[in-house]
Amino acid sequence: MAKVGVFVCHCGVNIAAKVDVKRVVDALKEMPEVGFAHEYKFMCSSPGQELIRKEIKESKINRVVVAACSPRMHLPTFQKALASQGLNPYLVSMANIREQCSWVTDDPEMATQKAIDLVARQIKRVVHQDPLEDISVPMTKTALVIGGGIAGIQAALDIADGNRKVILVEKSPSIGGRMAQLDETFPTLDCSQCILTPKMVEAAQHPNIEIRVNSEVKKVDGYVGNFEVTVEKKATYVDAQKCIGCGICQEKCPVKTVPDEFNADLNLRAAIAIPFPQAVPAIPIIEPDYCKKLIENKCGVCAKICPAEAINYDDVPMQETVNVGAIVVATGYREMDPAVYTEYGGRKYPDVITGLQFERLVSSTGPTGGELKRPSDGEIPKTVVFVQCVGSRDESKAHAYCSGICCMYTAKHTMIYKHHVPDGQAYVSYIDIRAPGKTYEEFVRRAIEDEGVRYLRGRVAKIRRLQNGQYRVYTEDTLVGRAVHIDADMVVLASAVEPQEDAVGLAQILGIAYDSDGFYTEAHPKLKPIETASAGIFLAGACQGPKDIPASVQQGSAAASKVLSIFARDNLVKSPQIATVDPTACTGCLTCSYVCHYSAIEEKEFGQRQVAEIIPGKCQGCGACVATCKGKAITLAGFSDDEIYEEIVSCK
Amino acid sequence: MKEMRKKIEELLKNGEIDVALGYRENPATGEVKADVFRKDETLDDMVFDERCVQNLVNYLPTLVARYKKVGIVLKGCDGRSLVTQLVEHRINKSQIVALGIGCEGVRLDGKEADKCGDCATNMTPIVDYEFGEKKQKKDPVFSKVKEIERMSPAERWKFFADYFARCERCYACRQICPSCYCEICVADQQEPKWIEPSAKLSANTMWHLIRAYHLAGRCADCGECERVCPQEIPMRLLNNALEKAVHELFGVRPGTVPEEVPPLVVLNKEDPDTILEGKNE
Amino acid sequence: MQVEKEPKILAILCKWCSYAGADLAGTSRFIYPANVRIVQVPCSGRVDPIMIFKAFVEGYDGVMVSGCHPGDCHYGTGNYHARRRIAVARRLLEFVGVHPDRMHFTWISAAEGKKFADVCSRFTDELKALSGTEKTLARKELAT
Repeated sequence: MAKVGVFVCHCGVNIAAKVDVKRVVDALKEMPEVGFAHEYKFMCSSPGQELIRKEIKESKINRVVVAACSPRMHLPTFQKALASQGLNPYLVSMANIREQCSWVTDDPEMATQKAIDLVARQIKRVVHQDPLEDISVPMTKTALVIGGGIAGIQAALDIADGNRKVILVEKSPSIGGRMAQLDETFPTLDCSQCILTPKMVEAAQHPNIEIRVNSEVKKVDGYVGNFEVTVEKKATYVDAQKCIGCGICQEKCPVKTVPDEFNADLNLRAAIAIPFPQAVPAIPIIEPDYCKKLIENKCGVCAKICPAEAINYDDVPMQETVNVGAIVVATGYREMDPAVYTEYGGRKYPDVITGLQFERLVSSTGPTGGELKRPSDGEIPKTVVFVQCVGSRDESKAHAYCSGICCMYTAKHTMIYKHHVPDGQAYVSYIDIRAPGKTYEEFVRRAIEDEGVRYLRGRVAKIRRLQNGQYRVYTEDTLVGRAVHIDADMVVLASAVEPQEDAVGLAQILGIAYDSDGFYTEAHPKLKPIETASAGIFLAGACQGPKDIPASVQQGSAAASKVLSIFARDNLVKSPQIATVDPTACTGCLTCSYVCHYSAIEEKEFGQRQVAEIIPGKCQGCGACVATCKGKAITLAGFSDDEIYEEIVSCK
Repeated sequence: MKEMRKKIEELLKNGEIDVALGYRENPATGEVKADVFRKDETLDDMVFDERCVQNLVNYLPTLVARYKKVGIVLKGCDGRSLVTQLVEHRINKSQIVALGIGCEGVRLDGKEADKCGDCATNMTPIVDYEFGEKKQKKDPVFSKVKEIERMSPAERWKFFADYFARCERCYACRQICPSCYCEICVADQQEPKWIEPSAKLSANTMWHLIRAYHLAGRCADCGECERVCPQEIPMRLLNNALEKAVHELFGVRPGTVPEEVPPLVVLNKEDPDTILEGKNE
Repeated sequence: MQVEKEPKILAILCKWCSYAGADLAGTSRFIYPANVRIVQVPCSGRVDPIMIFKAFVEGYDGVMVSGCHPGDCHYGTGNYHARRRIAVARRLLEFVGVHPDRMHFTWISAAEGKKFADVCSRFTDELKALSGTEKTLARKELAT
């Protein structure tokens, strides 16, 4: 038998000035469910809470209603008061007689009547409230980081430093990502590899990090704390255990026709190769589409000369299932193929290159050894036009969004260019300069003022190749309002940042949302920028949207802290206010699974039939399934039909 | 019909189906009823004509529980109600052979059934073997719904309250409906009692609102509920009103597209907010 | 003298946006009629139209449902599902004769305290403007 203790708060004068608290207390005392009703000046104060504690002990009440402010304000306070006396914290309900009554009602009589009604409803409701226990789910305290770029490396290092195991899965043969391809970085012009490679090595040597290169996530089952992830390692034809990374295979391989992906396809490389000199791990792989041995069973030079006998032409893809408790997605971005801009001649004209190609051209590890020579004839370009917003902010051709990094890297490019070719002239065609980061604006000003780079506001209309090998860039200078053209030796297109080609596929495997561009969607754009809607899966870096290095590192660390805070507990503790299925009432239509935003509903066998089952670890307690279930086989703890029904029907 | 009978005989004989669900004529009385046909019998009294009113899909769940493979004769409307059954995992398609017949309409009480006037597809959308003439899809007119919509709210309520008041809560409508298959119907639930069991206007109104709402986007107008109602409550009007609504709101004609997820559980971020506004505002 | 009874309104509000919006109306001291009774649900997606039907049958004059604005749902997509369900429920209620002015379905964010108070005031006025015969499905009539 429920015995409700009712406590009506004055909230100083906030409630008492409008509501006749004594009348409320007297009226409620008459209700059969009520053991007693008290009033007090400030229920949330220590003496107020003490009043509740004392009455629980002495009056043997088993339910509590506090009539005070909004439950959003003080429900946890009163729940704690209950718990401290061994009464289940979910057996308290609050009547909101301040925000919903005294503060919004003019007439004291009306306010008093409304208050009586509001408290009476909560008394009726609280009788139907059930004791609930926090849900405790055991978990695997190993994290999976997908993507070995700077965001993924940072996340992996931070988690590993927090003394948790990390599996770092990277699709390509080396970690390092885009940052490994960059020459110098804005706004400090420090060398990208000099700051990145120590981190790569640290990750590789960290006892808590297991790096799996040449690997991809193929399947994800389970839920936060207990994911089962299938990782596939592709056939590389080189035994990583045996290989000593000497590189002789790469030197001797007779097939030198593979476009060098690391160098943005600017040169060709061998069919067996270590992707770049600083690669981690420094293990070569064979490109099966080019290797003569694998195509026509000829050659076999690498196997013959390998001192470690590491070559294995019979290698096959291997799948393995790993158990992890949390996942960080850090799959990065790709540079848009500028071929859609036929008027610019990207991919057609050899000296119209992309930003990433420019990085490789000026990099000491690049195809020219760091000498800036144009691809067509190896001449040093004396005039270079940098074109911004190629594919960005251009909804009609490519993307509506701003790629965020191009203004800064273009300014950087112009400076690097001037350092390579001091007597050269750089032009930048821009729409707006967006440089909101710390010391970013100053950096752009430096390019313009100190380096003499000429910034022309306007969008490039066309690029035409001239007889003399130069390129005529037709653009405009909207600030003076006239069309201009520049004859350049080389043109660099700041091609848009795009999601990876397989971004949507991976999102579907992970069960996370993505936007219309293919970038992954955070749980809340402001307050949950790291979380996805799926518990235990976090985002880091440019897979969520264009980002520069500092922002990617920040997000990597933030994701790591999210993972570590999950792992800090012994078990996963979740709110018990989640939905459960009564299998005897479930028909197994599974229409509930269509409305579940968290993929928390699965099919299970129950006797002869299939019924729905809600995974407690995944359910977030929204109740969409409850409203879908016609047979009322699903109950949402804390917001059950019983509780809501009482609130609806017990209104006077 | 001859062709279909031959096909069913063949399917039964070579074991492709264990039983066939069809319509049998009692030669003595001339009555036509749903029945199960087996391998060892002649199909001479299997018929298909305007007397085949019953929705055979209603009998399907029992049969597929007992037999591995069941053949079923389907009119257009019945086939549409089968779509919901398949999508909601009530029946597994691999367990049935759908024998669709181009329906020329059925007769009730000596005249063409009302539902036939608004029939969207005379051929079942789920079909393995097709017989008879398949007509073009057409859009139901729902003229009776429109008639009600032209009334004032008070007139409408008067119209329905008179009917709801007559309801005896015998639940024949629920029992006959293939889509009403909850383990425990919300009308039978004790806590909370959303719908009181006694046959009074308030509880009856709850029943009829819930029954219609639960069928929204799923009911394909087989009309069985109205046919079996002892009080002749025009339940098809409520069903049709919501059929019309889901078409206007979401562009869906329930049951006409195989494997289509019911519109009320489909996620569509692009629905305009105007759908929340009153129709008569 | 016959006292005009204030119309009774049930407001089903989601916990994250609309309930917080109602709280903000309070903290901002926006006065609105005392006839509104709020039921908190975690998400508008939790709203089963049976609640709305029951409210009318129980004698509420008006029913209001509000959740987070489209795109802002705390649970991602609950309000989109709610929109479909409530749109159909509204059509059904109107069809059997519930006056359209007796239902108000809207989005109110946690920042829209003013909007909540305004909606309550306007809704009350609209309900007052309805004649007795327009308030069908009233408790008295249904008591038979």
